[in-house]
Amino acid sequence: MPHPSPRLNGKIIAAVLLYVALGIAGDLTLRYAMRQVPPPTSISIAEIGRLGAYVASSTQVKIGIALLALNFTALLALLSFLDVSIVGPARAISYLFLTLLAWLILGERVTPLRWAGVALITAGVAVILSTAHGSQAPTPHDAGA
Amino acid sequence: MMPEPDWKTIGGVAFYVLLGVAGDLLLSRGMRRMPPFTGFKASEILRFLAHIWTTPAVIGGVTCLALNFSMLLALLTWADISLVAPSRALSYLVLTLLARWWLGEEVSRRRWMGVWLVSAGVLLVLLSG
Repeated sequence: MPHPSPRLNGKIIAAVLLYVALGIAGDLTLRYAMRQVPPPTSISIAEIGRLGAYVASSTQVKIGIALLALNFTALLALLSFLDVSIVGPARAISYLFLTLLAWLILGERVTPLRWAGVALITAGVAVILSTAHGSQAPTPHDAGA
Repeated sequence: MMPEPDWKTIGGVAFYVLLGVAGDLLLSRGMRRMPPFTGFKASEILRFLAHIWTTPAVIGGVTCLALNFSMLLALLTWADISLVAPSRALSYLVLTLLARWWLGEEVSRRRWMGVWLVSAGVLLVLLSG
């Protein structure tokens, strides 16, 4: 049920930023960890086993999973006292930050086409979230961040 | 100029997103059938665990989400995170279509506008692979 959100203050903003940062850090860490293993060449038991063994043995993958678990815990904690109108925009903007950091830290090649797509997604998510009050279709919990 | 579409990545991302949406829907359907949790007592926790392990929708939802995460790890062996993460927003399109045609919910024009913007954005991101 909607409930009045407390007024924005430094603590709440810090908590929302922490939530977003955990999600971005988790995604970047998983990409960093997974790009070190050769991609699967077929959908076979042998290939799934090879990736599974890497995932089970990689500390970096475990750190990535832990960051995403904390991100999800932070989301649940935030939603217990804030409504989507505050958490939502932070998610929308996280697409831009994640892309920027993937380019700066991981050296991914972000073409103008990809930037344009990310900008449209950010705008679209902002429009969707501006309709979030009242009974609307659900929003996914894992959309960004 | 549009580059040549990378069908392996596009198919992988589509499968990844659909598994996530299916998992979320099944879990919420399964968990809503459980009488609400009344407190942290041993009997309540047992009832909760019993519900989880005996409700097919919950088991199905958890399975879909486990496959969804495995698919993410597999995708990230070759696909950029700056491609995969923004593409997750495709779930807004899938959820809105399901809400409209399956649950029969009213979807406002404003929401449709947002959904089409997101979908166009995901299309560009996927073509940038």
